[in-house]
Formats: sequence, structure tokens, C-alpha cells
Amino acid sequence: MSDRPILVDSNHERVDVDELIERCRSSPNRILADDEVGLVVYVGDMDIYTVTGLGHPATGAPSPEISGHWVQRVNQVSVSRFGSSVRRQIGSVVKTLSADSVFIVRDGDSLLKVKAKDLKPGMILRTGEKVYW
Amino acid sequence: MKFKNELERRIFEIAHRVCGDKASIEHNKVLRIEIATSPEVASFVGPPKKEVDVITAGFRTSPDLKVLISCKDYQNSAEPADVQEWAAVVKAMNKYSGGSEYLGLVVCPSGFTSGCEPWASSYNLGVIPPLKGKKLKFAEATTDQMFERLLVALGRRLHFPHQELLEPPHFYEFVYLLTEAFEGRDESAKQYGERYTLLGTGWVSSFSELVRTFMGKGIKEINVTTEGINIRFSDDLTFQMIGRQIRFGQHDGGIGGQPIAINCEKNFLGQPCSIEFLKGIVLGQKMTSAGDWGDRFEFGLTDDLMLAIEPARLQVYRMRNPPEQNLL
Repeated sequence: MSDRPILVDSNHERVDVDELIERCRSSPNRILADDEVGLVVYVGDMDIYTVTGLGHPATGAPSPEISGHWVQRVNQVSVSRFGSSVRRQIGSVVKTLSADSVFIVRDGDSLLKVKAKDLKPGMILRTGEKVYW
Repeated sequence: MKFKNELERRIFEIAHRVCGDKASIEHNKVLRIEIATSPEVASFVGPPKKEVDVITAGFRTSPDLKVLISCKDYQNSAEPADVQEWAAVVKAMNKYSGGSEYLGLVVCPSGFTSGCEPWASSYNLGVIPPLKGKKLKFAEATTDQMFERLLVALGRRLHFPHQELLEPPHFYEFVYLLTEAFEGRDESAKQYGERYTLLGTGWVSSFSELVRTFMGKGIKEINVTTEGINIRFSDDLTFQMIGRQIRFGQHDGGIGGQPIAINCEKNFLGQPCSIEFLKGIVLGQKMTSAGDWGDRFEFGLTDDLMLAIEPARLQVYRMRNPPEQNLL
């Protein structure tokens, strides 16, 4: 993950990234890197998950994933000082995404990996959702 | 100690700096591969015996875990065969390790061809620089910084349960996580030069970081000295314009120099005004937007105000229509 990740706990409650980082600072070994590039912290035992699908991060609205899992446990959280973000409408949801978030897009019978900044209107994600803009 | 090339010397010195005597280097280390016909060793020139040059980095927190590093000092990008070869080496080392566990890392400053990614991820090898699909080559200094950042982070990571790092593609992803942001830093340095720097650290920064820092913060004070323009914001934040350079971040004691007067203007057409008038308008207002025009930086403020800052001029105006009925 990069830029400002969207994080939730196991109850699907939104986790504030800044507060999480402050909690990590009380245990210096959790700060894996903190320099001019950005910050990386270890949170593997702190009940932190990231949103991997397009469901609502706070309410736990149904996932577009076939498996029904739209959150994934996170071991490291990275906050880049130089990441850029883009706004995209995917399905019915308008989201702010880090520019280099990777999406799996259908391309005929095959799948392509496409960064968020390169998503184009009309593309269909593996999950079946359409990119509108 | 002899090194085969400059890259090997730099990488070993970094490993030694981070890992101390847990870092070592071996030339022409002989590995015997038991199953010479397996796909993993298909690229070997002379199986079942293989000679390799390897830098090993170990950690006091986890003595049984070591990183085997291969340095590829190539003119061109490394090929999938280079990744496959090192995967076979790491696999062989793990098979006959007698208790130790090994992670593999390939460092090639000239980058990797895109075909290396599936091999590296499936074999759980870290690659430096990372494969991001856009920028595949990095400066040597950046590659060194990536490697050092990774080793330091891994040393800390090993204070916590880390068995998963041995399972594909977790170590590959760990290395990617620690190194992928360098591209943004280098691009920012290329785009902005030294326009933006952080107070205190002197780190290169960017317009986007400046906006994130000041968004919603209120202006508390404006001072102009022989050194430049200093604007204090709430939360003890400071914005400084010194010539063309912008420094910002946590207040670090001020800009220095002797107080001087500066040209102040109001409204879009630039009518002269006093700095007291300008302060009376903008102090207490919160930042809502920003723009950088190269020789002029603008803060959008609450109450539809705009504060423009140039090295020798300040200007304030209201962005409310119709303009002629909203003059200051």
C-alpha cells in the first residue's frame, strides 16, 4: 500500500492512519522506516486490515469479490511522502486511490494489471465492475 | 578485502554498516545442486556444480535467518535467467542449510526486464530496484539507499513473528514496499528541484506534501526579514519563502535576518496597501487551496480570500463575484 491507505479493524471500523502511527511510535521497532521517502510501520499484530475490494470500508457493504472477502490483514503500512492520488468512479463508488494502486482488468479472455492512474473509462475489472471515469 | 566490482563493494559496505560482523562476502562459493534437471537450475552453465559470488547479511535479532545477496553489475537490465539462477541458489542453500533459513535478494542498478517480476514473486526473491512497470532504472545512489533502507527495516521487522516472509511472495512484496516510493521521490526532485524542502531535516519535498501539511491550518503571523518571508500557521507550522525556495514544516525557530518592509497590494489589480491592512484581512483565515506559479505561490483561504506570496511582494484579494462589488 502507499500514499494514505484506507484501513479498518476486524469490526470494519475505520482506523485513523495518523493515530495508528502514533501508537506504533511507542514501540520503536515497529517503525521499520521513517525517512525522506516516507514511513513504514509493522502492524501485523494490531488487528489492522486494508480494503481490497470496492465495498464500503466502514459499513461493510457487500463485497464485489466472489469470495465475499473484501478486507485483508495488513502486516506493514506504508505512507509515502511522494505518492500521488487519483479520483475514479468504479461501479457506483467514487474513490480516492493512490495512483499506483493495481487493479486487475479484463482484456478479452485474459487479465491485465493496470495502475489506478491508468484506468480508462469503459474498462471492466475482474470483479465485473465498470470504470466510469 | 577484494571486490569484483564497485557495486559489490558498495553493497557489502552497506551490509557491514547495518549488520556489522553478521555481513560477509564469499567469492566462487561452490554449490552442489542435487537435482540438476529441475527447472530451477536450467539456466546453470555447469550443473550440478555452481560457483557463485554472494554477500550474506545476518541479523542479531534472528541469527538463523540470512539474506543472500547477488550483485549484478550489468550495462543492461537483468534477465529472468538471473532471477531464476539466484532462486536456485537460495533454494539449494535452504535445502542443505542445517537449521538456517535464507531469503534471496538480487541487486542490479541497471534494472530488471519486466519478465523478471513473475519469477521473482513466485520464488520469493527481492529485487532492487523494484519493478514498477514505469521506471525500471535508478541512479546508483538511489539503489544504494533502497538496499540500506531494506536491511534496516528487515532488522527491525525480525523483532516480530516473521515466518511468513519465507513464503512466496511475502519477501518479494516486503522489498517492494520498502523500495517502491523512491521513484516518487526522484520524480519530485526532478520536477521541483530544490523548490520545496522540509524544515528541520532539509529533505526534498513536493507541492502535494505542502498542501497536505497546511490544508485547514490557520494563518497566525506574517514576518518579512532580510532572509525572506515567514508565515506562521496553527499547529506550530511554518511556511518560508527564501528567494525561489520554499521551506515548510514544524516551526524551527524562525527565518532569521532583520525585519524589512515589503511591497503589499490588495485586490486583483494590485492597489498598494500596508502590511498591517493585509494582516488584518488574512490572519486567522484557514488554508483551503494552494497554487504554485513558479515565481508566485498562492494560498486560497476561507472567506474567499487569496494570499499571493512572491519573494518581494505580498498580495491579497477576494475571489468573490462580482469582483467590483467585493473589493478589499
